[in-house]
Amino acid sequence: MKIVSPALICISILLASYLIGRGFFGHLVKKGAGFAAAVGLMVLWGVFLVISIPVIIFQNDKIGMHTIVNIYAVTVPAIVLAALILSILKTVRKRKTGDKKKEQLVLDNKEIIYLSIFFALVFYQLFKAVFYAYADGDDAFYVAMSQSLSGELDALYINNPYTGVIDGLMYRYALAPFPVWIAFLSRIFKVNAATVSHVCMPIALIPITYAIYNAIGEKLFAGNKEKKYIFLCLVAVFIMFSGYSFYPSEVFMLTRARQGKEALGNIVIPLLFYEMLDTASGDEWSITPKNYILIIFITLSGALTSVFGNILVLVALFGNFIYSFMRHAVLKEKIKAASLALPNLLMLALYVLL
Amino acid sequence: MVKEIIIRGFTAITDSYREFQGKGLMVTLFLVAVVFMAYSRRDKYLKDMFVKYSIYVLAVFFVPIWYVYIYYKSDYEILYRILWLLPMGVVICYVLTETLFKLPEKIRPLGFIGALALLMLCGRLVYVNGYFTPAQNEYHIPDSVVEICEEVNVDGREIRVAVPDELLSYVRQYTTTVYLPYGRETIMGEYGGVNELRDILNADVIDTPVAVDGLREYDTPYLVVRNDARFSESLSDFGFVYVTSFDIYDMYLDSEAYIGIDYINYR
Repeated sequence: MKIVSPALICISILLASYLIGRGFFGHLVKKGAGFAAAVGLMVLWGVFLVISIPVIIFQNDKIGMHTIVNIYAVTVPAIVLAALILSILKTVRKRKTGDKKKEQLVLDNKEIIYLSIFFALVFYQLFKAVFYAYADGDDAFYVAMSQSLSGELDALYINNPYTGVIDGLMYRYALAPFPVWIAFLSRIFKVNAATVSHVCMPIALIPITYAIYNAIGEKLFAGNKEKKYIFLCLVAVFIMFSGYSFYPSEVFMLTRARQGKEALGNIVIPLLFYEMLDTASGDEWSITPKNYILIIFITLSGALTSVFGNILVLVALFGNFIYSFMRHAVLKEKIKAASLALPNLLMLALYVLL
Repeated sequence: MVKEIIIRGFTAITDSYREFQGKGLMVTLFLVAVVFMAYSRRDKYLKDMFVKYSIYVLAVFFVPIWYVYIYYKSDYEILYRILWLLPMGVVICYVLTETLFKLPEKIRPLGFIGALALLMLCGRLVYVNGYFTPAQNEYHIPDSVVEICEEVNVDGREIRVAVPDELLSYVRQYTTTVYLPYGRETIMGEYGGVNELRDILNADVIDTPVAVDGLREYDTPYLVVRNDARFSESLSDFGFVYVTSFDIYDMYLDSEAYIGIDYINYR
């Protein structure tokens, strides 16, 4: 099995995501580097959606997959660079002001044991994802779509991925271009899209899910590390034993990390839940500007991963909106909560109109 | 009509819930954890997010407005994904963790093992199913498919191959320069379509002249069949020559087809 190029893809995704998360959402670093990466990934996905949707809709002889590749390949390094500069400036400023509070991670024996169990469980899941193949029929569509766009094909969602024949623009799928993101990675790193889908995606995305659960644990147990690590162990086992049905999102996480719906169920939705939890935990219900921007990127990521993701995100946001009334939030906050629905409503409108 | 919409919608939603619930007791465990949270002395916001939010999600799932969608749309089975909004893992594991910390410190490790056992008993290990097999390569695609694709590859153009049903899902995951006369949609039952050529090639005894005509109609120079496939007449009598075998598959090439090079002599 080739290791270097797929490993480079995973490192690039995680590093770029981390730098973006740390640079633009610096306060989140306290919740762990992994959580910063989860947040950065939302920015990467949100930006990809914004670039790819107009290209898909208005594609012609001159505009196509190469347009997305060219724009995204310039935009991402620019965002990462900007994030890096911001991080450096913040660090320099902190040093100047003498603010050097850096929490030392000191663990007692029990915490080390629980943390080791947790890492062993995650490692086992990654091992299974990389060295075992899971046969899923939907790959014939999604992975083949990534494969076709990873080569010289420029027309997006025109060819039937099952056979290769030209079928016309498939809007039902085209408005959730997660496979195009995989195709982009495949083109840039020159790794077969099947390898990117089946090997790189689980290695990159499964740890992101656990980083989100880690942040949730941090929130729930307010710094009690033993509780948090026990919680994480239980979550890892809960996920591994979700095979009671084909339908829980956790099954998708361990079996089909290459499909957009996996990212929806195990990254977008848990992160949105975390944000709602975070917002709810304040004495007064309010969405901070940074949280607002982050939720917007989460909603865009929801749209990228699945068309139905728009509906799921809207259901969650509507619940959040109702909750703002229950908590007697001020009118401005209620308007902010309602406005979060705009990206997904726009995507659904496109779906209906096109 | 309204009655039909209600009956069909109600049946579909309850079936969907039952399928999501599956064979284990994990959903029941979640509901017990939610009830526990409702009666526990926790922060109000936690009770809101764990209890009220879960009730809200379940209400959205069961709301009859979906009945209309179910009646008119064939892809209604995806509605189970609304249940993905339930914070099942968070609530169950939070309640278990807090319960463990009510135990004396000395027996907490035993409690931890008990909690793990409870999750294992209520669920079912994801990896225990027939769909997992050791990966044969870095593509997670059967070696035979990779070999078939490499064999038929012609630089700079597409080539079409007919393959047995079990390979339909894999070929174009490996390379999309290989086209298929019919794809996975023909084996998807009610959600897919039918294809005459597939029916011909899946017969107990393949009608050779009809199959050859069908392959030529679809501009398909390559035919891959299981090595135990039976033909009414020899393929070679109709211009299809044996090329090679991969694993349990035999490959034939239409000698009358132009595939960009004089392939038979080239070999």
